Amino acid sequence: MGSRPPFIWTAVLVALVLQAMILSSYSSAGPPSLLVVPGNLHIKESFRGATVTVSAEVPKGAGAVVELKGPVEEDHLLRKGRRGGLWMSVGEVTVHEAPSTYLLLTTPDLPPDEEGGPQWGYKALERRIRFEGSLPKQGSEALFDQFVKLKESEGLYGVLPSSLRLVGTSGDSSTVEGQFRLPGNIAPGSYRLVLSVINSGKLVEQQSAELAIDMQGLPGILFALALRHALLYGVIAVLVALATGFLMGFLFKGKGAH
Amino acid sequence: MNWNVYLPIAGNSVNIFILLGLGGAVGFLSGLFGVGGGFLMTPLLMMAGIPPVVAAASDSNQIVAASTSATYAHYRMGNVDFKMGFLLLIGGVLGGTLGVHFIKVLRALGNADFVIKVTYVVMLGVVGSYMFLESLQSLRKAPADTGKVESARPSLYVRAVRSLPWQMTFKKSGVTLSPILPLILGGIVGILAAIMGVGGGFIMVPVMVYMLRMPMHVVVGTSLFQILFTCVNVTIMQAVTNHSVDVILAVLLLLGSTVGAQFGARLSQRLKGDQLKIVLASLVLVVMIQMLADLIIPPHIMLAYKGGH
Repeated sequence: MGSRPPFIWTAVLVALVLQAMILSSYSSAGPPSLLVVPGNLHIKESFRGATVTVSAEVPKGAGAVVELKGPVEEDHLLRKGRRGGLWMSVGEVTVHEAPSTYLLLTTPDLPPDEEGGPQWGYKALERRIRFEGSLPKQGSEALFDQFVKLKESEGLYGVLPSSLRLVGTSGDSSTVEGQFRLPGNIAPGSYRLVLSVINSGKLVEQQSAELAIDMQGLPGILFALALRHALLYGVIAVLVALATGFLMGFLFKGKGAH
Repeated sequence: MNWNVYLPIAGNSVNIFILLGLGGAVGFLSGLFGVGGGFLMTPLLMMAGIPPVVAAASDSNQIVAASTSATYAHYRMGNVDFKMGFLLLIGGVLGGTLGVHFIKVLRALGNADFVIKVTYVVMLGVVGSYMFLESLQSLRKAPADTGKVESARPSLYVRAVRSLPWQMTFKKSGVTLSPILPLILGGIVGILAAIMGVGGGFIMVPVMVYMLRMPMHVVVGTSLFQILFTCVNVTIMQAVTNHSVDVILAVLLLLGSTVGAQFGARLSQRLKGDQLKIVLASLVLVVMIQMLADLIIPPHIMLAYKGGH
């Protein structure tokens, strides 16, 4: 009985030391920390797109992927085809579950779009998006490729392999950094950035952050007016046009008359 | 320096000088030929990254300014026949309403796009070729024919027009005809304009020249007067039903187009009628060839956003 307390104390001490060792190793490798700069974007009169910088601390030797996803919305598109030897719209297609924007950055060691991989890239997107309406004979796979092509032509979709660079190493963790170039036609809304950490081909950690984009100043006022007071907006548009037309006609009066 | 401007309804950012330049160029053509220029401006705006439906609606808004400016300039020169313009406008509104219903039926049958594209190419081709050849012939004959008296028997068309009831004189145009004729012709142009989704100036101008026998300078002023009313209606309708009028885009375009329209109207006064017709015919044929190429060459992307012309 008398030797028991020292044994307990020794066991407690060993447990505390072990716990401290585990915690210290966890904090030095660290959970991935995703930092987004800026966290908010304001679309104003001279907005022409923006650059968003993302940085994250990941375990040393691990790969990383950062996705930027826009709000999910329905797209109404026209499918082109050949009729009577001429190319024209042959039907309407509705796209469901497609994010308005999808941009992807990866570290150099990762393939941008793992075949069959469930986590990221166009393949993952393809599994989620649904097409309805006038589908081509080849099925929706061909339609998905064309949809991506259309979005890429606007700068709203893009896969940028090796664009997350290693910028520093400290202890068991590395810092990776990359930039998203958002085009001038990016829509206001709530965007989600998702960091996936991959080690030995397996997803080991995920973290997400928000990027809020809103419209301010004159564009914001006009956008709200056009939606909430459409008739007033239309009448103002016509009056502005009539007034400018008359003003220009009046200004040119002296020079124009024959 | 950042010369880009954000367009809230288009949801895109475009260089300010591109918009002023586009407005100026199309406004110049508008003042010169009496066409609204929608058949040129909408595709050009789409190339600049504006969604089709916003491009078409905002273009209508800027045409209101360009046609106000150009109608005012032509009115001062005595080139607007208000009586004829109102008759064509009434016919155009009735025809346009009929055309919109016709398109609805075609869309339900799934043939709308085919009909629209083919009508566009055929109309542009027929109007452009006829006007081009006729003007070329007139230009060649003009010096030799001076002093000749027209002695030929009136054509079947002229006799038919003269046989219509309620003949009245249109002083500005210098023609005497029944009001039924401009009402019917305005109606036909209205139907075609609704099918093609354009203001119809490029069809109305040849109709006034060849079917109503109006002098070219009065045709330009009267056509602009009619386009002004059509586009006021379209702008308000688009703003209310589709929320697709971008005022910032329209203002930048109209700043360019109202200035361009003044220069166009002045040049139109200096050129002969046949010279004007031959240049407009060439422009119409170029647009027709571009449209034909779009129909024949496989598109780069097989999907497009819904809306627009």
